[in-house]
Amino acid sequence: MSALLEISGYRLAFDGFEGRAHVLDGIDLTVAEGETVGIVGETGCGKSVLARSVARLVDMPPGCVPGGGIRFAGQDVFAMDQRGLARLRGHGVAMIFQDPMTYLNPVFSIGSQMVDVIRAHDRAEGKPKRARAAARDAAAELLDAVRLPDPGRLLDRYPHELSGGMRQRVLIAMALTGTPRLLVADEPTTALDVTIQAQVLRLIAELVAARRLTLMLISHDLGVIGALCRRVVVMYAGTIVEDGAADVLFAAPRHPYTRGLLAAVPDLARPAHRARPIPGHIPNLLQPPPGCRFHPRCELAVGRCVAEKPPLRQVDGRLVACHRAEEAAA
Amino acid sequence: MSGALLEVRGLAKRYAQKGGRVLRAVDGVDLRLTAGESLGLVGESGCGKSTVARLVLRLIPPSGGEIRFQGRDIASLGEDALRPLRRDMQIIFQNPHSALNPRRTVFASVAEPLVVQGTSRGTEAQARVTELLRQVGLPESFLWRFPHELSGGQKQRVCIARALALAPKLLVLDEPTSALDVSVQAQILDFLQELRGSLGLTYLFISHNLAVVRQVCDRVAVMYLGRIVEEGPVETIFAAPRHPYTRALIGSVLPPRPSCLPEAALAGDVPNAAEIPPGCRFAPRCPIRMERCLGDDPALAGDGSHRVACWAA
Repeated sequence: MSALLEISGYRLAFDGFEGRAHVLDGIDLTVAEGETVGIVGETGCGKSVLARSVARLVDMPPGCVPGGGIRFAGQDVFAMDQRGLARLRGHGVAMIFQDPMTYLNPVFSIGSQMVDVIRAHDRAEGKPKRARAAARDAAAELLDAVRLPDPGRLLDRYPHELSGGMRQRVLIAMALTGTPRLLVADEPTTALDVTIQAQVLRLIAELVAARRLTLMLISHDLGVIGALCRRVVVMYAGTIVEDGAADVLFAAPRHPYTRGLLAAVPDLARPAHRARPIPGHIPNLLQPPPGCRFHPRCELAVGRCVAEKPPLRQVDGRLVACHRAEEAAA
Repeated sequence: MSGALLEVRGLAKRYAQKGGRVLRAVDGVDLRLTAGESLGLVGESGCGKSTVARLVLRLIPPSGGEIRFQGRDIASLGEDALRPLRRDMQIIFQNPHSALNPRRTVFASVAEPLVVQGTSRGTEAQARVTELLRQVGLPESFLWRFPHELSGGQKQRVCIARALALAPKLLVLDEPTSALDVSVQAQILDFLQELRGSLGLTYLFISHNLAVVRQVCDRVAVMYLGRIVEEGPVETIFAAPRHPYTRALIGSVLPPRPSCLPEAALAGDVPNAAEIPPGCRFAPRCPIRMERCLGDDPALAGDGSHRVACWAA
């Protein structure tokens, strides 16, 4: 397997009125073709800006990259010109987001929006643009691929006439337009109800398998990650703290934060397990704690954790960024 | 009817829509809360659970039914008659960021119920607010802070302090931790449990998160499209659910570990509350639907504690 996505030493900061917020601090992540990777973390850990960075969707300014870089299929994402970016977005990387309503234009029909996307992709690929009628047929096929009933009629409907689950399916169909290699799904089912969530996750899993997509799934929900991803990356305050196979990481987490996160989630199947909070709160990224960013909340923290940022290193079959990972066995 | 703090019968809320259509948000709900217990009300968005919360507190007027609070029907009371009752029933909302006025200090927000009800003012109010903050685990220095200086968990604690200010008997919690991260959610849930024990509060706990409800509630009621379809003790409902909708809900919960996706037990979407199907309202999505379900609307029935509205149960 070759590396499809290589993120190395990637740092991202935002300049605001109160100073510079260091939202990503040296991210190292390599994703091979065909992997299903889940990125999990709490609000503000940087998982969404990391996902957006992959398709260079972070506005700069106010964002800036003080160091590191991202390569997709061997090409430097930050060195691409507009043509290169147009090809990257949709053909290389496709994205779906949390709130499907925000990403559909309320005043145009589903068909008209899909036709625009299909024709824009033709242009980006340097192919002759299809006529609207031909693009409309292609749109109907895509809607059929995401199992929306009666695609022909659906094309003439407007976003407000669709349920949340249907809208998310439309966006998934649009994401497939350019036959992407990497599908980045940022909280794709967070706005949906549980019974609908199950339907949409099943669809994503089937599409990933059938089209041999590489999946990068961003979620705060360990259950969603556990159902769809073979590999899990845990983020905290702009850093990766643990990265490994899902079964290894869920069964025996090594980073104190991963352990805290797993212990904090109430589990329907284990009513005797009482969710335990993690003391303290998420640090202010304008002045992130020195050393390990988790040390102020960590029960294992020692002097070294304050002084020195722990690198990601191999421990017990996964990568962990903790000086005391050996002692943090569950 | 002894021991019931709140008893609701045939509660309904209808909204007239354009074209003479009627949206039945709450369509005949029966509930009973004994003093000191915690009842979970679960269901998907649009099922009417938040409307029930607002109705039982009389924040909105019902279109029909009875709401007995401490034995007295409050369904048709006017604002003036309701005011003295308000101190006994309080609510905590989902989003603490929008439940606090950004231009008021913590003190001003928490003291407001005391001022409105005329129970204390001036230095007495300040002492009481300080005491309330201590109760929710916040230091006195928070008195003069503004909401933007607080984290989500701290804001929710301020909202809880405000709800406790008048020493209520009934606390309605409408998705109190849904806007919070899991590590903070666990803090607030723990704290709410402690509080119920120490103050003898009664909770109506509204949530879409079944795992949370299982952890903090004694009984649970499952709502679908404006009606309660199953109700019973937490252990019974989760161990042996009898309504197909309850089974589908429980089956859709993903455990926090590697798992297979559940077989999508339910097809389709929740119907619009303006177009409630005849017969059993769940029938169009039901995997075990029978002929009878399409014409006959099942009532909530069963032995004392566990009740189900399903012909097949």
